[in-house]
Amino acid sequence: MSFIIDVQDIVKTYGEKTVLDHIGFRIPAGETVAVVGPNGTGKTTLLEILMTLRKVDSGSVSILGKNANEQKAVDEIRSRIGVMLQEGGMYSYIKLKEALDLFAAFYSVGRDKIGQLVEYFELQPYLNTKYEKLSGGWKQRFLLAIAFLHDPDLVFLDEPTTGLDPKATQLVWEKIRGGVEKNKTILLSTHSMEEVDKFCDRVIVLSKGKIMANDSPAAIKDMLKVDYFSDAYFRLVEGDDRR
Amino acid sequence: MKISAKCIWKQFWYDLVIFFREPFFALPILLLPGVFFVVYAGSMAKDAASIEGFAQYLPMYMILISFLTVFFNIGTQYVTDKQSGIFKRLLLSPISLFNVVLTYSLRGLLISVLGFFEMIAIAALVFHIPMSSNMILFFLAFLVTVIIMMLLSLTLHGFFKNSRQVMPFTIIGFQYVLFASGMIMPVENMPAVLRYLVYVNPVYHMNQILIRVWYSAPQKMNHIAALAIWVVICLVLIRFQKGFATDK
Repeated sequence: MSFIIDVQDIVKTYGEKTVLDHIGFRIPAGETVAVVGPNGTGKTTLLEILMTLRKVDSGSVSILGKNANEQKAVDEIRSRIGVMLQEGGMYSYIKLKEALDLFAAFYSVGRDKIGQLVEYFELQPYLNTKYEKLSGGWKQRFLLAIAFLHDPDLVFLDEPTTGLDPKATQLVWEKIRGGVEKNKTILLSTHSMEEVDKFCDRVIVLSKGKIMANDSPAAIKDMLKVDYFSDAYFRLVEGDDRR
Repeated sequence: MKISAKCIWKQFWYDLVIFFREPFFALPILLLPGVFFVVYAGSMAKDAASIEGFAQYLPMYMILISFLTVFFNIGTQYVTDKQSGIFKRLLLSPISLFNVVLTYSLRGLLISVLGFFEMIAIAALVFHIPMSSNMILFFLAFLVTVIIMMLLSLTLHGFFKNSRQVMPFTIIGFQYVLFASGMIMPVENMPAVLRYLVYVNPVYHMNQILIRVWYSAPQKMNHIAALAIWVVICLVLIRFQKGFATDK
């Protein structure tokens, strides 16, 4: 089996604090994987390492078969990943059609592909709207469209539905599932255990820099004999049922 | 993936588009220094025996436009772009940090050059101030001051993580440039202790160098040396600065 992400025994420290403590996991192609854990537990650091924004102190990280510790590989990895950041990362005063044009130039994407994307994400009515004027749900949908613009093999979504109402959340997930159907690998962080249970093939539960569980939500629930993934989560991060 | 010239051009173009869309940036930066000069020179012209001496104030107003663009606008944007994740998002595309800084620099240069010609036009058309016989060298020297200003701006603003931190610095920096550069208050009339504040102000040295180029007067090495020291300080600081929200 080929793995899109292969993390072996990584350690990351900030000064005296160990944020990730000898963790490892593998993610096969086509899976939707959630990284969950309490605030300050190393989720963002882990995602940023996988996105090639941070380097590890020790251990190895392979993304799309490339060694993420090598600068040459980093440039190639970045051209093949899609990213949706929690902060947004979009110019407030740019119109949607301009942002699409700009990012299409970065990734050498043609007009046909932009047209398909606009249609799939139903962006047509807002193409002449500035990003800052969009509602929270449309902002997330647009950022998701940019993440999928260049047809990446691997997509990182940092809390894609935080702050959205149920309808907007459902729409964002519809589009994410559309990507999954095209055999994209999705790695996301979220605080919604309901979403993990409903949509994810695998979940990595982090606590205090260590992996407490790495399996399908159903398998974790079975193992802990609970009906809801949120119960399993609390037992893993607060209880003694550690692997 | 290699970044093409077309890609850089597109980034530069949209950077400009966004700049001109932002309220309270484009117009005040380009218009206010010109208006101030018209008011100032207009009031002085009534009593002046000769208008020729007014040219010595031109470089300062050009530098002011450059300062407002490069330091005030681009510097604060540099911090807010980091805060809002724009830098991170750009770096996660095939765009490099060099491309991002290049785009900022090109905009700073372009707006500063527009300011340069605006001041020249006002001087020539409104007040009929005789132009320098050294105009090409003056223009080139001005471009060098803009580049140094950009280096100062990106280096100093690189220490800030969010707009809340950077605003007091920007306001103090603006007041420092206004009052401790010889622009509003003649340096000779200042108390000796305050003059030291002027002597470490790079804008003061930029102004002095440009005035001498305008009048084809010999340069004083202390002004060039002061700017060279600032450039070295910036390069050392950049070397040790952690980069743009990444530890790569």
